[in-house]
Amino acid sequence: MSDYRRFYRQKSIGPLVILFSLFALPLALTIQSGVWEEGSFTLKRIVSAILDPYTQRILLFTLKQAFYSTGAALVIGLPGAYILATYSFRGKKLIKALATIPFVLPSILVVLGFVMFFGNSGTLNTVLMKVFDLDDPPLKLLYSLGAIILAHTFYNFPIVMSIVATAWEGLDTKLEAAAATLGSAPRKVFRTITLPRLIPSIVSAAALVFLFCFNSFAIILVLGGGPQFTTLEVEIYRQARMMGDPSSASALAIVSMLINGILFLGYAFSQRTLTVTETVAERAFEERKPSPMRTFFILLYSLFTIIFLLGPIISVLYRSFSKGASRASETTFSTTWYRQLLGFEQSSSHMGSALTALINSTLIGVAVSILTVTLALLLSVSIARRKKNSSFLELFGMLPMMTSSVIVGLGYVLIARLLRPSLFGTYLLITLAHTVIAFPFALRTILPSVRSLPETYLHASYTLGSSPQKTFRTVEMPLLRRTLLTAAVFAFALSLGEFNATLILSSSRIVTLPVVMYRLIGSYHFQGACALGSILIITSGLAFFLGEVAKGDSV
Amino acid sequence: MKMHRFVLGVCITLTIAFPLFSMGAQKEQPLTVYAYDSFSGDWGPGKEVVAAFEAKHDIPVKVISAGDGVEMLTKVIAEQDHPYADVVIGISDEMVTRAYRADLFEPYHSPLLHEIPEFLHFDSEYRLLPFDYGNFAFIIDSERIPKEDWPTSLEDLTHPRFRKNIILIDPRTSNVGLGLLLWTIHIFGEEGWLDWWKAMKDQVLTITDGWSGAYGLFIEGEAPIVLSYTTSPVYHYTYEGSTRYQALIFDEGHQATIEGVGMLRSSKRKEEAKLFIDFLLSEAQLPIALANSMYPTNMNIALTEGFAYAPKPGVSLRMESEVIEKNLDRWLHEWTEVMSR
Amino acid sequence: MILQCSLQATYPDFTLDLAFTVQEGDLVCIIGPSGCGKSTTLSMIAGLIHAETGSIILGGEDISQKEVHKRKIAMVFQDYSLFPHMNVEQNIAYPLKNLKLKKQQRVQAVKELLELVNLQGYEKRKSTRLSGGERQRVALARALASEPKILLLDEPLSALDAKLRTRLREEIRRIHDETGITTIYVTHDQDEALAIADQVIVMDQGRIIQQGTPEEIYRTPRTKFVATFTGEGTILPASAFARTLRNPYHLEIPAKHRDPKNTSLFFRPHASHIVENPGEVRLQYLPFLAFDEVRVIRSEFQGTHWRNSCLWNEHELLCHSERKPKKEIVSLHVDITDLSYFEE
Repeated sequence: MSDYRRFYRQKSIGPLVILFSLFALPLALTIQSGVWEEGSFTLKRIVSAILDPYTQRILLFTLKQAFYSTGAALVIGLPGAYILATYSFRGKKLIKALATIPFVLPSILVVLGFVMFFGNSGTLNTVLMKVFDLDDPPLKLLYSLGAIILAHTFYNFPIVMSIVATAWEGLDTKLEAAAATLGSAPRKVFRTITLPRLIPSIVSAAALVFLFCFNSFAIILVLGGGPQFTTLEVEIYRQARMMGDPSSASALAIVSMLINGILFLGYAFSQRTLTVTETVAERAFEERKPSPMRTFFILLYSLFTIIFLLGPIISVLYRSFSKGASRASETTFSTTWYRQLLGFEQSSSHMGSALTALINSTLIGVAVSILTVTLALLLSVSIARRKKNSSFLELFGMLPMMTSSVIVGLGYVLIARLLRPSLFGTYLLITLAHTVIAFPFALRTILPSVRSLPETYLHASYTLGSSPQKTFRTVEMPLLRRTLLTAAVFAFALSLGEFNATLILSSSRIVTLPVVMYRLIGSYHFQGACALGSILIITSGLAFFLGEVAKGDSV
Repeated sequence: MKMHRFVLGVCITLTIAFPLFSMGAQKEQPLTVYAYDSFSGDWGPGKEVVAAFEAKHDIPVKVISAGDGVEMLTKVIAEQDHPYADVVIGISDEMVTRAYRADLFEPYHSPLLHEIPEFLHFDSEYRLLPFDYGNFAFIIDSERIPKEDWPTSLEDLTHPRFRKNIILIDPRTSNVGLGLLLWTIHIFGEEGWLDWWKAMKDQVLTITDGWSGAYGLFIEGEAPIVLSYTTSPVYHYTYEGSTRYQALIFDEGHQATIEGVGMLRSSKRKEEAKLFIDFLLSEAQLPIALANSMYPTNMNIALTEGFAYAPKPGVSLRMESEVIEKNLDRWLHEWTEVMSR
Repeated sequence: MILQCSLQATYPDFTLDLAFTVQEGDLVCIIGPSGCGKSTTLSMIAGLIHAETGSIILGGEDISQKEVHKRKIAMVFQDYSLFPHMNVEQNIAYPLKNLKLKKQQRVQAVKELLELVNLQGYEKRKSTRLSGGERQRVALARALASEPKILLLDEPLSALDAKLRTRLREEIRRIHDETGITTIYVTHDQDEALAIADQVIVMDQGRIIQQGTPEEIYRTPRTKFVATFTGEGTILPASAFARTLRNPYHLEIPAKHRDPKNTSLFFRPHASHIVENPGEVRLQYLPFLAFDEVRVIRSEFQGTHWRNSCLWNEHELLCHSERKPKKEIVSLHVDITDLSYFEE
C-alpha cells in the first residue's frame, strides 16, 4: 500500500465518524426509545403496535395506497417510455425536461400545486365549469384515496418513464429485426422479444416507486384526512408531535424500518438478479417516424404530460398574484402577498415570518450543501481509491436511503429531547438531519465521477512534486468541480424543500420555507402559500440555473 | 493531517452562519404568547389585539401560532422544561384536564373576573381565565344548499343528500373536533355515538387536523357544510357584509365551549402577562368575539349588530371535566377504531 | 546521476525480481512484452508502487522509502495525463509552483520549455484541444519543468500513429541530448528502443533477460526470447554449424562456436546472402556457413529489400535480398561473425 492510498484511507475516517454519529445515533435512539422501558429491554411496544388493529389498518392502507399509486404510475408512465424510446418527434426534449420536474419539486409544493390545480375550486375545475357552464365542480378528485393516488402518480410516473425509456433505448433493436425475419408479427415480436427484456427495468422502477409511496408523508398529511387515510409515516408524526408520545412513535418507526428494509432489499435483489445489460454499439435503425394514428397518440400524451406536470406549477404561480377584495368576490392581479411576505405590509403572523423563513432556509441549504458535499467527496475518494471494503463503505453511505425522512426526523426529535437545544441548536439539528437525508444523493452523484477520474492524473501530479494533499486540492477537486457543483445544488434544493424531518423537528419558533408553507396551507391561506411556493420554485430554479452556468464555465 | 481543515472549515462556516438564523427573531425579549392558529391566523383577531396592547402599554408582544388547541397544549407540555411562552391563549374546557395534570399555569385572580358571569368560570382556581365562549355548530353555505334541504339534527347530517358535503375535524388534534365528539356522546349516549360517526364516514369530504383548515376549505367552496361555532356568521356579516354562511341550530342542543387564557408558571414576565390577560378580558373582548366568532365573556361588552346573525341555541350542553378526564382516552381510542376502518 | 535499482515484489500472476544500473546521462529503454513488469518497474522507481524488498539508490541515496512527491523523479504517462482543467502554460507551470518559483521566473521557464519542445506560443491553448503529438510534447515539457533527477517515460508514443512516432522519438532523443537528463524509457516497440537508446534492458516475466547497447542486443541476443523479441531471424540447432561450415583459408574458429552448452544458433535475415548459381563463390576470406539446396518458398517485397522464406532440411530460414531470387533452389551464406548462440 503506497503513501497516497494511506492518505485517502485516512480521509475516510473523518466523514465516517461524522456520518455515523449523524445517522446511527438518532437511529439508535429511536430504536432504544422503542424497545426500552424503565431501564429494561422490552418488545411490548412493538408487539402491541403490531397487534393493534388500528396499526394494522394503517399499515394495510399504507400498502394499499402505495400499490395503487405504483400501478397508476406504471399505467401512465409506460406509454411515455414507449414513445420516448421508439419515436423521434419535436418536443421530445421538452417532455424529457418536464419529466425531471417532480424530481426537484418539494413534496409540499406538489401538494399545494395539486390543491391549486385539481381542487374543487382549482384551475382545472374552474376552467371546466366555465367551459361547460356548470354549477358544481365536475372533478372531485382532491380528497381521500383518489387524491393521494393522483398526487403520487404525478410525482412518480416520470420515474417510471425515464427508467424504462432508458432501458428501452439501450435494447439492441437488431433482435426485433431478427425476430421479424424469422416470421414473427410485430405484436408477437413485442410480446416475446421486447417485453421480456424490459421487465427488469419495469420491476425496478415499480419497486422504487412503491418505496417512495410507502414513505410518502406530506401528500398524505395534507390530502389524506382522518384516521381512515393515514399512513405509517403520518401516524409516526402524529404520535410524536400531536400526542407527545415519542415512544409509541419509535415503536411504529421500527415497524416501518423493518418493512423498508425488506422492500429495499427486494429492490436491490431485483436489480441484481434481473438486470442484464446488452451491449449495443449503436442503434441499428433510425428512430421511427410515427404513423398519423400514432402521431395523434403522441400528441395526446405529450399534451397530457405538459398539462399534468406544468398545470400545478403554473397554478401556484398564477394564484400567488391574485387577490379577491373579499373572500366571495372576483380575483384581481395583486402583489400584496409578496409585499406581506417581505414584510412591507402588515399581515398575519405566518405571512410575516416568510422573510425569516427564506433567510433561514437559504442559510440551512448552504450549510447542508457544504457539509454534504464535503462529506460525500471525502467518502467518495476514499471508496474509489481503496481496494478493500469499498462496497461495504458504499452501502454504509447509502443507508440513510433505507429510512424515511420522517424517521430521521424522529431520531433528531429524540436527540433534541436529550440535549434540550436552544433555538440556534434546533436549527443546527435541522441542518444535520437535512445532511443525513441529502447525503446518499450526493454520494450517488459524486462517487461515479470520482471512480471515472483516471488515477494517472494523481500520479502525474505526485511525480511533479505535489503532495497527496496538494494534489487533492489542485488537481482532484478542480477536476470534480462539475460533479461537486451538481451535488451541491442538489443538496441545496433538497434541503430547501425538505419538509418531513423539519416538520417533525420544528417547534413553533422554527421557520423554514416548507414549514411556513404548510402552516399557510393548514390555515387555508392559499395565496400566501402560493406566493411562498413561487419563491421556493424560483429559488430552486435559480440554484439549478446557476449550477448549470457555473458548470458551463469550467470546461 | 491537513484534511481536517475541511471539517474545521465547515464548522467555522456553520458557526458564523448560524447566529444569522436568529435574525429578526428577537432583539429585546418580547412577551411571548402562544395562540391556536385561528387566533393569529389570517382572519383571527391576533393582529389587531396585539397592536392595540402594544400601543397602550408599550410592551412588545410576539404571538406564535402553535397549531390547533390540542396540538398547542401538547407543545406547551413538551416544552415544559424549556419554556418559551409566557401566556397561552385558547385552552378550552374540553381539554383542561391535561393542562391541570401537568401543572402548567399560575393562578391569577384578575380584578376583571367580577365582570364575567359565574357560569363561565370554568376553573375554580383561576389558572385559566375565560375570555370567550360559544357553542359548536355546523355552518352551511346558503348559496349551495337551499334552505328546505338544511339538516335539522345531527342525525339528519347522515342523510345521503349530504354525501361528501361535510368537513369534520379530528378530535385527537383539535378542541373543535373534540367538541363534536362530546356533543355526539351527549346526544346519542355511550351506546349510539359511534354509530353516528360510522354513518358520517360517507358524508365527510375530509377530516382536517384543525379548525382553520376545515373552515378554510369551506370558504374555498370545497364543501357546503363545516363544523364550527354558532357565532361564525358574525364575522362574515361584520367584515364582509355577507349572510351567505349561516349557523344550523338543532333543537337537540349544542355542545358549549369556553376558552381560557393563562400564564405559565415558568414565565419570568408575570406582571406583563397579567396586563395582557386583563387586556384580553376587557378591551380585546369585542375584536376577539368578532374575529373569533365567539361570545365575549365580559358582561359589559355591548354586542354588535352582527351577533344578531349568531342564533342562540335553545339548549347548551356541557360535560363535567371529571367525566371527560375519566373517559376521554377510551372515547378517542374507540373513535380512532371506528374511523380508521 | 547514477541510478541503481534492486527490486523484488510478488504479484498473483508473476514475481518481479530485478537489478540494474543506469549510468548518468544515459537514455535507457526497457522493452518487453506487455505484462512483463516494465511499467511496474517504472512505477516503483517513481514511488507509485512500493517494492516489497530492494533498494533504489539515486546518486548514492536510497530513495525507496521516500514519498513520491519528494523523489524528484518526473514521469510522462502513456495517456500524458495533462490536467484538463488547466491550459498549456498552467500545466507546465504546475511543477514550477512546487519549486517555489516566482511568477516572472515561471513565465520565463514555461517559455523556454515550450521552445525546447518546439511549441512556441502555445501557452494559452487549452490542454484538451491539442493533438496527440502536441500533448506528448507538453507532457514532456511539464515533466522537465519539475527539474527531475531522472525522467521516466512510460510508453510515451504508443498512442500515436506510426509516422508521428518516428518523428517524435527523434525529438525525444534531441531533447535528451540537449538537457543531458538521465532517462528511462519504457516501450514495447523494439524499433523505437533500438533507435534511440544508449542502453536497452530486455525484460520478461518480471526479470531482466539482457542489458546492453542496442547493437549488442540486436546482433548477439543472449536468449531465444531476446532474439525473437527484438526482430526476425533464423534459429537452427547448433549442430548445423559443423554441417555447413566452410573455412576456405583454414582460419581459427573462435571457441564460442564450439561451446557444448549452446544448443541453438541464430542469425538475422540480412546476415545471410543468397547465392543463386552453385558455382558462384563470393569473395570471402572469413569462415562462413553455406546452406545448399535451399528452397525459396515465398518472397515478399518490403520496399528496401525482399524478404525470403526458405526451407532447408525442414528448417525455415529467413533471408533478405536486394533482388527477388530468380531460382527456386538456391544456396545461403552466413558469415560466422554474424552468428549468435543461446541455450534453448
